[in-house]
Amino acid sequence: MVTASHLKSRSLQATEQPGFFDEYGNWVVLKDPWTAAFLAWLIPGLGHWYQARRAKAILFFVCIMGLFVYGCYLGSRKDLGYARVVYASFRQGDMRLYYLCQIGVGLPAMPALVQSARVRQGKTPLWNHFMAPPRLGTDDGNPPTLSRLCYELHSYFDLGSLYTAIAGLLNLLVVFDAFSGPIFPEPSGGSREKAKRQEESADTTKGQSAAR
Amino acid sequence: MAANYLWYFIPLLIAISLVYAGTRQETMPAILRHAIRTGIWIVVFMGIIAVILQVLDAFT
Repeated sequence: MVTASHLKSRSLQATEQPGFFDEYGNWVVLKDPWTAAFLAWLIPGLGHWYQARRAKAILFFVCIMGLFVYGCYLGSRKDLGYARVVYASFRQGDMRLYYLCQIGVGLPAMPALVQSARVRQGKTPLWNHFMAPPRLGTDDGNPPTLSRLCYELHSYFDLGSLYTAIAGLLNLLVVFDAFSGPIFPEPSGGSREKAKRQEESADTTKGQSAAR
Repeated sequence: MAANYLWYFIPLLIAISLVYAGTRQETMPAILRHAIRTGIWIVVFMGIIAVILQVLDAFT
């Protein structure tokens, strides 16, 4: 249930630690928001785990990594390479803007940067072209070009791209949640009046504790 | 045949609803309630768009 205390989610308690009241009126401390936000970006859910918000950490990890891994699976085939839907390429003729969303999941999308750097240096991609950018030029065999990947994987290429990009975008919401807590919905109807009264009561209590 | 692709919508729907609800609530029961509401909202919204597209398709 939404109470007035939720509206004070950005407030500081007497301990001066950032935090907010949850649905049951318990104070949740947002431990070291900048570190938590960075960890949340690095591995989905890690920031919440660091803040001891374990249930949400597991929820975010399972949902986001589930989407990301499934997207990678859709974009994989033994003869074409694995996770071919996640790659970093900003070359002429292959601007992979999806990657700007996919990098939202942090570390799991990082191998694409390694592979991209190797390709730029003229080296062969590692790990059976895992997250490697497709070859540019005419399609005359291995490694596959982008058009061949699209042809061979057909709709799974788009589906995999979509899944992984959405996973990255969802993780941005999680980063904000780790940094500043949840955005509780505005109370509606009768609960709004009740919330207002509780908020006034909370203000009075806070004023008294400050005076002491 | 193309309708089979709609199955791929379900994991997306579940993950998006849960993560979105997770960023709006803190405790698990509240997250689940919010996720169900969000999921229903998404399905209804997409259903309305599908109906509009079908109607437009029928008359063009």
